[in-house]
Amino acid sequence: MKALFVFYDGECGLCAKARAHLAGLAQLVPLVFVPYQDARLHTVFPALARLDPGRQVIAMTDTGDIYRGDSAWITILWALRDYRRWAIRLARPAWRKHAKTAVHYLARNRRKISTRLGLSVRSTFPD
Amino acid sequence: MNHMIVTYTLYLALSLLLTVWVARTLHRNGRIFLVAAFKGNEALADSVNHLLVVGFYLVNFGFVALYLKLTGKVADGQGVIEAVADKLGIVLLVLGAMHFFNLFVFEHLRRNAELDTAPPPVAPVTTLAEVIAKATLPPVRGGQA
Repeated sequence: MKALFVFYDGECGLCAKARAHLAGLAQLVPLVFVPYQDARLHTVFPALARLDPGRQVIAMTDTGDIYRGDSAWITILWALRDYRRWAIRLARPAWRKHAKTAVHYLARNRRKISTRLGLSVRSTFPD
Repeated sequence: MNHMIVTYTLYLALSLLLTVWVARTLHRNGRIFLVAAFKGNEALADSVNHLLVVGFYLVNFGFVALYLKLTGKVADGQGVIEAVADKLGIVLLVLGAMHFFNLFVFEHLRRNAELDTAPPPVAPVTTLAEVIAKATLPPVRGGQA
């Protein structure tokens, strides 16, 4: 695998913060972040809308494997040098349940949490 | 005095023999862990293996030498055996601890190497090919569009 594309919510302050943090960590597989609202993304990948990226984060490898929600998060952690161990741990059934709950909760309430934490909501995508 | 010399000689001889035995075991059986840790680079594995064993010898011989001096007097044959057993017991425990420490290092290196090549721990929910296949429109019925 040469790259992991992450289609995230570009209009959510929390997501932008997470993206900035993840981008600064050592990566074993390069992460490429693209806000799912980016019009250019939809011209090259119109089928993305079918994956409903507004509900859960979507991660796609350069080989075409698609992950979403908790599996996307685990795969993102797997791509990071210092978190691969955690990714493997979280993938075990006992942990996976809780990872799923947490990820779903965050995804559902991301806009609300962003407002409450005072994280600005971006509406333009310079990249 | 004579009994003291016998105790020291026995202690040194047995300690050195045991150290050599443990070091050789490590050298022989640790190699495969290191080859795995260095992804099949046998030259590097052999080099690290050798360096580890040298470190093992240095630490253990150093300990054996420092731990040589008897605190009490040894008067007879029974005293010799007791003193040697006493000393050797501690040397064996230190050797055992060192041995497990080395095993831990080997295993740590091997696991780290495995981690670098591990596939994603979760299965993908779908693939690009599948999404594209679903996105294609069904063929138009009743002649050409």
